[in-house]
Amino acid sequence: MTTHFQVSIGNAAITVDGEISHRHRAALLTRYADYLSERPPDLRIEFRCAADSGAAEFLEVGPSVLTTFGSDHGGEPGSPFPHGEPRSRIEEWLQERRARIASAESPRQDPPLRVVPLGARTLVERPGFAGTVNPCAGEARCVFAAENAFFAVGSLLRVGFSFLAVQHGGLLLHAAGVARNGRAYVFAGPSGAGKSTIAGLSEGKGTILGDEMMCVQGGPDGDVVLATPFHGTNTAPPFFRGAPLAAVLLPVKADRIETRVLPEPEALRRLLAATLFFDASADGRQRLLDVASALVRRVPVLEMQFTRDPAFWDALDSLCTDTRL
Amino acid sequence: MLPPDKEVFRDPRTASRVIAGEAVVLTPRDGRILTLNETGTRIWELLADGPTIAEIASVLVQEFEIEADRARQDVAAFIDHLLCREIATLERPRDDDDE
Repeated sequence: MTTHFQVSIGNAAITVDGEISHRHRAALLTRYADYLSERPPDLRIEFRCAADSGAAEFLEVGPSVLTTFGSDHGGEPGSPFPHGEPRSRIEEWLQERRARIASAESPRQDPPLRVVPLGARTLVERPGFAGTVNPCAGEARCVFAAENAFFAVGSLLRVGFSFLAVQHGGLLLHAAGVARNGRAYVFAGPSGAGKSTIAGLSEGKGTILGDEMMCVQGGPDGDVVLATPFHGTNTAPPFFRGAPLAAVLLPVKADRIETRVLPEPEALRRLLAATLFFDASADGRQRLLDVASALVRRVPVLEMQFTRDPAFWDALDSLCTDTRL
Repeated sequence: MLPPDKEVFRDPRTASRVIAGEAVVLTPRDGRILTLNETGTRIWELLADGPTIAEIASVLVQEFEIEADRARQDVAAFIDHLLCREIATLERPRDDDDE
């Protein structure tokens, strides 16, 4: 079924075009319903099922570059998407992964996203899909094994918006966001830092803006936090049109509650480590550095040691009255 | 050890920014984040002009009041480290005006 829709985060917009099954199309339009827009797109992603054409030819890359797809479609042996027999229900796999994490078993790691710079384009692939992104040309292509459309679209949108956020003077962060007293706090960090825990502890303390990925963007009226359609839980947080950014917190699990304003070089380094960004070009990375360093000069960045207790909000409220926070 | 008359340049694929007196550098090979201390940041700033090892050492002697021999050794070792990380190069970067 021909699918065409457009997703926006802030001022950035990505168009999705391709042949996707009716079931996946319905799931995608439901998932991104709050973010559908008519804005002129910055990037257009063209999708194609691997069964319909050769992956390498469609992506215009040499076949040897791809590990997921060779001359015929399929996934890596031993991956969640076995070669030639892709997983029938990606949502079941995601549910299983979340259940394992919730049960405190050693979480099955997502297959890492493989990123390969190809001049003006960047190749990204995981078992089940492969894509190329050329943000300067506003073009991207993605080929997916059957039944992986939902997962592939989500991944390419993340990659695309990671480029566009920087182009628009912002950052796409691995972060949870909570709004309290009219301002937004972003808790950024790698997997395991405690983002989801903080989001859970903040029920009743503020409005949960997201638990996986937040966009921060500078503008004429100051820095704002933008909602993204990327979340880790089954239930999407309520959509919001942006909130003024109070501070970026870098959580550290500890046996006490303590906050520390970070010196700018350390703030920059740790913020970059929590930023989603795949552009391997020198110009792209320089732009990333310029945007991130400007942000840490404007916005307080704090390390926050915390326990499994929402009392850290008392510490943050105290900081609001004591400092420029 | 690198000879003192060897010119050293920033690798043109490297992104960097000096913030609050410290250079934050993204390595081109793997995108790792390096933070340089005060001395390393000063050397990084000097590399923008393609100086020799001796010239860098001379600046450190003046600005950080260290002995010349030690300065040359430390600079050579530091540049070696930057070369290994591929954020510095011994090749003069091509200038677009040369074409």
